[in-house]
Amino acid sequence: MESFSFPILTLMIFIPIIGMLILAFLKQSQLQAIRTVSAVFSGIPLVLAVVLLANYDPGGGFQYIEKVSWIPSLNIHYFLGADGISMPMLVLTALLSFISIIASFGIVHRAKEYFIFFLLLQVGMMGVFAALDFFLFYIFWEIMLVPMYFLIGIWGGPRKIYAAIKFFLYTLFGSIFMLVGILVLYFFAVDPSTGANIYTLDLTILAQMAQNGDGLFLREGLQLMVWMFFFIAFAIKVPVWPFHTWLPDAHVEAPTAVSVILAGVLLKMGTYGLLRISFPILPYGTDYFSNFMAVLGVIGIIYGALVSMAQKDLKKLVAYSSVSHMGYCLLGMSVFSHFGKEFIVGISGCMFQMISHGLITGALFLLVGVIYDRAHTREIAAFGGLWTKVPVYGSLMTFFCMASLGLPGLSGFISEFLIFVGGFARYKILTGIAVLGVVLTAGYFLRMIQKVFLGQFNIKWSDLTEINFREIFTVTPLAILTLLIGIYPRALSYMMDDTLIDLSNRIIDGVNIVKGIIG
Amino acid sequence: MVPLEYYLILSGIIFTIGVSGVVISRNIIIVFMSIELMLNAANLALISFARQFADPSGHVFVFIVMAVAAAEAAVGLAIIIALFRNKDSINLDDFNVMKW
Amino acid sequence: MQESVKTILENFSLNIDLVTLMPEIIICGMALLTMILEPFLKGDSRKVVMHLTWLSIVAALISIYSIWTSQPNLQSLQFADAYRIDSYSLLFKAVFLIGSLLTVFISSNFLKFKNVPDGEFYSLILFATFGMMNMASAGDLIVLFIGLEIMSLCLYVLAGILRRSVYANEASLKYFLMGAFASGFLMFGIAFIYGATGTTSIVDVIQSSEILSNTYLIIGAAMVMIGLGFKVGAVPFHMWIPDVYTGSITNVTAFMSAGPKAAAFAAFFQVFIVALRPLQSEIEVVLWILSALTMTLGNILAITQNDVKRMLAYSSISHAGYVLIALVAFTPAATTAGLYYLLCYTVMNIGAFTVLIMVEARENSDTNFSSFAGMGRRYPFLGILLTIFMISLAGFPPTAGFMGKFLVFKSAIDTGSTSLIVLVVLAVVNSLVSVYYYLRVVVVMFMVEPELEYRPINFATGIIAALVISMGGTLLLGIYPQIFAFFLNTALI
Repeated sequence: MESFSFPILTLMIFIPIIGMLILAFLKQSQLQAIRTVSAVFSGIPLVLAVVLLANYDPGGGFQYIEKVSWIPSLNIHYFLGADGISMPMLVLTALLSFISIIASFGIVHRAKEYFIFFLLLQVGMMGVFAALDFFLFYIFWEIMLVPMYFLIGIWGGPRKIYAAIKFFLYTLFGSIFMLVGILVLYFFAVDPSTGANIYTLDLTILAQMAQNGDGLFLREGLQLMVWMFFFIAFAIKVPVWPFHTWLPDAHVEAPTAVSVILAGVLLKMGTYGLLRISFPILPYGTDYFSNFMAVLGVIGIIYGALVSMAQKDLKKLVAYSSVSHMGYCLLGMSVFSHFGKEFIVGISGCMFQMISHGLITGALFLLVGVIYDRAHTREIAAFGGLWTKVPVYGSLMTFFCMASLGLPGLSGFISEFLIFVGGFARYKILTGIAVLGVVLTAGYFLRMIQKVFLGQFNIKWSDLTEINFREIFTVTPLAILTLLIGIYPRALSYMMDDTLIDLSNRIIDGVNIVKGIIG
Repeated sequence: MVPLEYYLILSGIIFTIGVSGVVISRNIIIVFMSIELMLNAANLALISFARQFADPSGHVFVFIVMAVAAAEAAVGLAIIIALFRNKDSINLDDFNVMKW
Repeated sequence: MQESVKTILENFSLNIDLVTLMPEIIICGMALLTMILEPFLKGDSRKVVMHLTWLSIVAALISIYSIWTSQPNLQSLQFADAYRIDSYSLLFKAVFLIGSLLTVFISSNFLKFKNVPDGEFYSLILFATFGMMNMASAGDLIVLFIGLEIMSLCLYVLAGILRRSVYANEASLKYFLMGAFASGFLMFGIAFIYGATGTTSIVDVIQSSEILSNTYLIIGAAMVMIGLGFKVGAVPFHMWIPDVYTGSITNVTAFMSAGPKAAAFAAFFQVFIVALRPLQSEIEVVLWILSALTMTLGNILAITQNDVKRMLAYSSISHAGYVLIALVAFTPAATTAGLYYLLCYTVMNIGAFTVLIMVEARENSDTNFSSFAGMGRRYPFLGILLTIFMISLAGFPPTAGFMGKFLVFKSAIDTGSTSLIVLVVLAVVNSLVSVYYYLRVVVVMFMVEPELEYRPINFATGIIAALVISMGGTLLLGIYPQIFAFFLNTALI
């Protein structure tokens, strides 16, 4: 199957590389040129993403497929494609990358290198969401680590090197388990008709095998082991409690735009990996460990929320709220299709949560960055009564906090609602505890708004300036999308429903086959 | 005829003496001689096996080992002389600018 | 006895094919020529020696390539079966030659900087390369031993070529004593293998149906294992490596860590996988332990180093551990993977050493981590190159180091044995640990401010050539291994 139409996904992934090359020839002092080039080469993928979205056919399975033989002797392909799970992620990534580049215009210290690394980061992220060969997926997954490491390590806060290394080692620790899992999959891939080893890492073929119950997918013990390997890799990225300790450090030290990417895109890679790899390829493992995932998810929700309440630093608060919000994702996906093939509420709630958390938390980090740039502090207690001084900023911040705590009409509500509906069908008590998380979330966000924007005005900030046009420009698209998804969720769900139903079919078939065999 | 084992035992003893010499002695020349002793133990074993098999290749091997040992001696002594010029010593313990 | 000599002589056929011996002839001939030529040259004309050397290495590489393309399935036994030329040995030779070529490129300026007489240097490099080629092609334990000694004798001298430096003296002495000690073990082991099987021919050892005495064979195998273990630097026979690598002049260190290590592995593969196949189960156990110890200890000690050169020395120990996994796997595919790994290691490691040499070849500079502080800012391009070499050494995609590890691990898991999977997991954990110290260089380079203005680096032509080749190799071997498909498709008999 060597198909090759117009390589739009390849273009979308690799166009930033051209930008990197151009940047390499610019001088450090040509700030304006550096900014323009990076914005343009990060903007083109966004345009392409919109084009892709416009031509996307929800019922068409994998689209925009590119498959070229890459290492024939190992049967490894350069294989890209997009379906209902990756399509929204690609758009989100392109959007957040572009916005982050715009938001980074304030960087002057070694700006050239900064934007080079940022563009490389974009390449890696796009690649992860488009790759359909596990080997390629792994390579993009790792490529992305290197620029992230530099971005935190060079442009970060006071403890940047510690945070960068911690981030790097944690993620690498996980991806190394993934590598071992990949190798096991590679050796147990069996051709259904002949029973011979075919040594493939093609995710579509592997998923097909799992559905039909061939090869590896029969040996339950091995399947559980591989599932656990992948789960460690993805859970560190999500981050699932108790693997989350790298996240606050990385977020607090990282520059604003990097935090946006970290929260908006990188964390989603973990849940994306679970949906793209663990769920269809290792359905029995998924079923076996689903209670475990739900419990970890709920622990994450409550733990993240409680720790957020105790935070004195704005950015840390948002960072821990991510731990809590990604816990919802895990709870939602752990329900998957427990109640028949059409029951996709939980899993689509998870998808909604991924997108809306990307939009909302991205915006929150941007806004925290806005005030940090002006006040050079993020301490909640240091502010007070800012609303009178910066009303536009205050209302934007409030808008996103409301979205994050799940105000009806905004996207956070939709995702949490779906997750609770799905979750309640299967885990009554756990979901009940999780609902408590919403209360806690409301608690810390409202407390934060009250302490920062209301109350006695702290005269120390009497010369605080209002949010400027560029900063408004960066959060506006996020606000619009949050509102759009909240009012008209179909805008997102039309893309993924078919894919998710297909996914739940696969899981149920795969689980039934394995269960039938082991009795 | 002396049985093969006797030769091998002798060869083993010589080899052990050689190894202990390398490990214990601190004088570079003695270490060096012990290494030669190890090679000669190997030679003895080779010759006894060759005699047992009535096969000439073992004998040939011995000649080659002797030639190699001679070349090794030449290089080794040259190194020791270069050392001695710099440090005025042939005691191994004096050569410790880097931790072992 | 008389009769047997006669029959042997009657059956003796040299069977020499000069075409397939061309690489050896070129290298050995040029080694002799440069040795003779060097005293007659004065002043600038001495550069001729250097140019002749690299040209001859390139010529040898070309001849290997043409032998390869004209006779893809070559299996030729020459000199009365004592010399074996096949695809496997040709590939090993190519690896050695690439290592030597890069060494020559990085040496010219550095030798001048360190005031080392360069005539004998090139001749020694060529002779050492010739010795390695003999090791890779050995069809007989005698040839293997001779090749090993040719290589080692040259290396002893090269290690001490900085005659007035106490460090170089000590490196040379330690290397010599340890090397000769190891040769003693090797020789004793070979004698016993001969005693057990009645032959010294590598191919015959396996075929000798009646093993006279299993005890002798095991004694022999153990002794050879110790001897070759010293040469590859496997723990617990590694203690010479850090000192020798640190004390030697840096370009020689680069050379030693690439070619001779690969050559020792060539010998390892031939003796243990081809000749001693009957002992497979015992050997596997011992090698498993060696491999596990080697990679773990090398890594742990590398973390504590403050000198980049010494850190690379310890890292080379741990890389030997990864290659040993291929030996434990004991399959043809694994040996090929090991060979591929050695090629990757050669290019990326010499690449890292090239940058190290550039840093060292400044006034009042050394190889400590602090010498790298600020380099990434002053020379961002060079900084990125070193970063790529470092992440490649750490085994990070999409670089050569990752692909090499991937192939080795793949071949190990392919055997399906649980103990190997455990070993692979251990190796994987080790590569995780190694990231820490490799990244330290990167951290210092980009994230630590130098105390003063960064002293300028001298970019010589040879150095740039070496950088281009090693970087090209590192990326190509990692991103598009298919052009090296011949590596992936060949295997030791």
